[in-house]
This record gives sequence, C-alpha cells and structure tokens, in this order.
Amino acid sequence: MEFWNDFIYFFSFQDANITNVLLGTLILGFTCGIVGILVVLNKKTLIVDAVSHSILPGICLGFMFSGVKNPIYLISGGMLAGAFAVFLVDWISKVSRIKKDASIAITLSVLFSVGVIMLNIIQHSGNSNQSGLSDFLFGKAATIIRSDLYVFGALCALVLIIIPLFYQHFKIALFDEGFAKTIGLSEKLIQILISALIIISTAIGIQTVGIILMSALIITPASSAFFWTNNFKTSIILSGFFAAISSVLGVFISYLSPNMPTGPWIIVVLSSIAILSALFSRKGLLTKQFKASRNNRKIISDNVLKTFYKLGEQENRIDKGRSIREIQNFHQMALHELKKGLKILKKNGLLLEEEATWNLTDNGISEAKRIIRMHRLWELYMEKFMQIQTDHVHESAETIEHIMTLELEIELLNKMGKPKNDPHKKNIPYED
Amino acid sequence: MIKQVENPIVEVHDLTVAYDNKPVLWNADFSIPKGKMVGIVGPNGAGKSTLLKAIMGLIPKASGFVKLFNDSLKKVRHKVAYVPQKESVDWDFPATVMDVVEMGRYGNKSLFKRLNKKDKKFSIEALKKVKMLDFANRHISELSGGQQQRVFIARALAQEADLYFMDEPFSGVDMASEKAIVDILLELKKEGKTIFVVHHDLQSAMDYFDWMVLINKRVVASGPIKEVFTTDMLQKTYGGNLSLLEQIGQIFKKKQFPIREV
Repeated sequence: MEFWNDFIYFFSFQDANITNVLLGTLILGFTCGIVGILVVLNKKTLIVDAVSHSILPGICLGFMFSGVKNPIYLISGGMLAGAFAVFLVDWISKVSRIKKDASIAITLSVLFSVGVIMLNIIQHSGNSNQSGLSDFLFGKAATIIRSDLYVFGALCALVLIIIPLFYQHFKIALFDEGFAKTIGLSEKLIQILISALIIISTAIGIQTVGIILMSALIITPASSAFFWTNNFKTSIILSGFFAAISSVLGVFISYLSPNMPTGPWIIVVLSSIAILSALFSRKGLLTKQFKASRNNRKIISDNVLKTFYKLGEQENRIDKGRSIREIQNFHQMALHELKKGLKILKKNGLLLEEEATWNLTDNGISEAKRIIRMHRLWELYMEKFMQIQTDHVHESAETIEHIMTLELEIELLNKMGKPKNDPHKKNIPYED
Repeated sequence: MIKQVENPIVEVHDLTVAYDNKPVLWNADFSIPKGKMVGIVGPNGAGKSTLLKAIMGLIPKASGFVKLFNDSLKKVRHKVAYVPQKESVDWDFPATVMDVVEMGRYGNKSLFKRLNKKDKKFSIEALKKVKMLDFANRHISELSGGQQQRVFIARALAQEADLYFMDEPFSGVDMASEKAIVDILLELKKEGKTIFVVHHDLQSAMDYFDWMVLINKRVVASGPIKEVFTTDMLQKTYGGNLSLLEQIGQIFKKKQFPIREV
C-alpha cells in the first residue's frame, strides 16, 4: 500500500522537486539512448568511458572558476574536459606507437586521477558550496534542480537536431566508410559529430548516473535495441525509449530508499531489459528454445498423421478409425509422444476422437496426403536431379517433408510434372 | 609494355602509394580508354586493391596524381561508383537490402534531401538487374556471400555512374552469382561505361576483360588483353624476385624517409 502511495506521489507531478527530477531523467535517458546506437555502430564504446571519467576534472574546474554549483559552469567545464579527452586519445595514438585502446586507458586514468585530486582540494578548501560535488561519482538524481533542466533541455534539443539532420550521413558512413568517402561524405565530419554527441550526452547524464556507470547508460540500451529490430531508425528510437524508461524507474526505486545512489539502480533496470531482450527477442536464446520445441511438435504430429495414411494405404481405407495400439504396432514411437501428437492433431482439427478410436477429419486426410506427397516427391527429386541412390533418399526426405512449402511444391511439380510413383514404386497421392 | 592512350577516361600518373611510409605500389603510370572492361590482375599482395583505393582517394598518395574524365575526382564524383570488398563492412548493421541500395542514390544528391519517386524506382530497377528484388526487405545479415556482393553491385548501379571500380567482386561468390555479375558488367559495357575489376583468377580473366593491367608492386603491363596476356608478361608479373624492392621499402619505413624529395 505504501508502495502505491509512493508511486502515485512520485509520478503525479505534485512535488516540484520530484517533477524536476522526473523530467530531467527522462530527458537524459532518452538522449543517451539515441546517441548510444551511433556510438555502438561506430565501435566507439570505449571512448564513452574515457569521456565520462575525464569529465570530473572539467566539473571541478568549472566549480573552481565560478565558486558555485551552477550547472552552466559545471557542464561547460565537463564538456570541455570531455573534448580534451577525445583529442588526447587521438593525439596519443597518432604521434606514438601506442594503440588506440591503450591510449584510451591512459587518458581515462590520468584525467580521472587529476579529477579526484582536484575534488579533494575543493573539499578541503572550506567553500561550503562544494557539498554534493562528490555525488558525481555514483550519481544522484535528487540533485537535479530547475536550472539543470534548462541546460539538459537545451543540450537534448541540440542532439535532437543533429541526429535527424545528419541521419543519412550517419547511416551511410557507419555502414560503409569506404563507400561514404567516395561519394564525398567527410569522415572527419562524422567523427566530430559523434564525438560531440558523446560529450553532450555524457555531460547531461553524469550527474544522475555517475562517472563510473555512465558508459552503461549509453551502450546497454543500444545493445538491447539491436535484439529487437533490424531497422536503423527503429533501433535509435527503441534505444532512447529503453534508456528513458530505465532512468525513470531507477530514479523511482532510489527514491523509495533514500540515500541510495541513483546510477546503480538505473543500470540494474537497464541490464534487466538487456537480459530480457537477450532471452525473449526474435534473436533471443529462449526464442531458439521455443523454435526447437515447435519443430519437435511438428515432427511428432506429422509422423502420427503419416501413420494414419500408411495404415489406410495398406488396407485401402484411409478414413477408418484407429486405436492407439494399432498405431503403435505400425509405427514405433514412445507412448507419451504418440499421445502428445494425437492431442496436437485433435486440437488442430485434423483428428477426431470417438471411444478410444481416432479418425482423420477431411482436413486431416488432405494434410496427411500432403506430407506423404512431399516425402515421395522429394525422394524422386533426389533420385532424378541429385543422382542419389534409391536406398539413400528416404532419410533426407523424412525431415524435408516437415518443412516443404507450397511454393516449393509448385516448383517441384513444375520440374517433374505430376509423377505417379516415388523411387520405391509407391503411389504419390494428390488431391482429387 | 604499357600502352598509353589518347583521351583516356582514367589517367594514372607516377602514382606511388605507401603504408606507414613503406611503398607498396611503385610509380604506377598508365591510361585507359573509355568503354573498356578492365581487369586489374596480379598475385596476392601485389597492390591491386591499393591501386583502386588510391584512385578513389581513400588512401593518401605518396606521389603522382590521378585524373578521371580528365578532371580531378572531386569534380566528377557523381560519375564514379566504387564497390569495396564485401568483407570491409559489418553485415550485422541494422539495414535491409533496399536500405543499402538506396544509399547509392545519395551519391548524386544532397544527403540532406529525401529520396523521391524516381530514386525509389531506380533502386528497384537496380535490384531487379541483380535478381535480388525478392530480397528487398530482408535484413542484410541473412544474405549469402554472393547475394551480399550483388547488393553492393546494385548500390553501384543505383549510382548511375559512367565509371565503375570494383574490388574483387567475384571473391567468395557462387557460380550463379558470378555469372549474374558478369552479365551485368557486360551490359554496362554495352552502354559505353568503363569498368575496372580487381581479379585474381587468370583462367576467367581472358573471357571477361578486353583490357588488362598487370600488377605486382608496380604496373607490369597495361593494354588490350591480346597484347598483354602473354606468357612473357605473366612471368614478369607472377615470377621474378623483388627482394631488392622489398629491402629498399623497409629502409624507407625505418628511416621514415620522404618518398619524394619535394
């Protein structure tokens, strides 16, 4: 009950402070999410870490310069330091033999330690305004105030102008850099834009998520989005959505238990989305499991159906009712599988159950014929077109019969006419 | 044997390309007439792709210049299409076959504009030509190597260029795709376009090309295929020992010595 009261209070915009926090996290989450797609596709994920860590000395510098915690000074300082970090990473790897990943690690640690030292100096300077500056390490959404919102809003607007405006540039250059250059697209421009987007979104997010976890807010939503879509535009929007939702939920959870840093909760929610995506999306792990079990059901039920046909073929009476024992005698299969198959077929309207005997419905008859037809046509195809010996065609046809489509059947019939018998001289059944 | 031509469509003059100050292609100097299907042939590591990339301005030149249509590349970009090796991109990128082909249409217009009906029609036509229209809405990761290559060719066709540079369009491609691609290239040639193809299968080279540039660290020969495709020339390209060239290249790299004095 208390939870719901908190929930309603939090999301009802009654409290001006909470409203600021909510809007702020919504903006920053969305911004970081949409930028994330470009960053991940550009393989720049490590740069985000370098930028977020080097923002600390920038923020300290901004504070030292102004003496107050004015977001304009702090964020400007942070962004300048971020830009410096991007420059430094490039410069180090250009003028020395140090590779890019190493130069990222160097830049990150050097600038971060400078930041920690500066933070220490500020904390002992006796300036009472400094309290709360250390919240930048792990993030504290509660510190978002009205004046932060204006700065966030302006920066978010900038991102929302840059991405749609240069949408085609990004799409072409991130997919195929070489091609992009040959149509006159400047690679430098793309790299500058993406660096700028990283710096902007990091500068907005850092107060809430914290330096250490900042890169997760940019990278995780993008990685989750790729599980769900193959479309560039959709992935951008989805990533923004994931990050915004996680940020708001994370902030709410940390509101329920005061003195809890916000950043970790946001990342916990984000990671849950990522894990769920990895499990349940179209490309997910559980989806694979699901497909496997669906294939298994198909194989079992098709095989039961085939047994009905073959029994009927033997006695020339396809519509005769069969008992479970009769089916089992004809086709060896485990009883539980057989029962499962019968159940599926009954549910699909292919079989009718009457006093322990099972009858094919009209649909059942034509589906059974179809499977047999696919099997025998494929055997014939293998013999005629693939030069496979008659005694080897059966096994392969056993699986192919389950997955043949109408289109392929038509193609087969076009190729072979309407043959009467399969390679084993068995009759190929057609619809009358 | 290098046959220079009047009014060339591609003119490469004293082109040297270096990686990390080590020359990998030396003093390339040749010219190609309009309307030819040109094979760039040579052993592995001979600098075939390097030559193409240098012509397209993708890598810096250590010396020399390239003229296309008697002009600099910058001024004639819209008339030139480049097909990179298909391994050079990440096929997991979130895009459909149609998305990739439509990228070709942006070569001719501002990237800030939207594609219009004509652009869409052209993209569909291009896909039809490479027999990939049925795959238009497929994600590009679902394609086979040959199909990926055909998508790249379709993107180049959508560019409506007059001059095509293709880097190994037949590598890792099934027979059906290779045949489809060759047919398209012949069709382009019939329309008077010029096509450069980096190729390393000597057997089929004779059938595909009417002009050939033989390369191994330098241009060994350039001319009509009948004059160039001789035992003597092939021996010079594939045989021979270039260890001296390799050694001097290493010295350039070690000393970071300028490749030209000025």
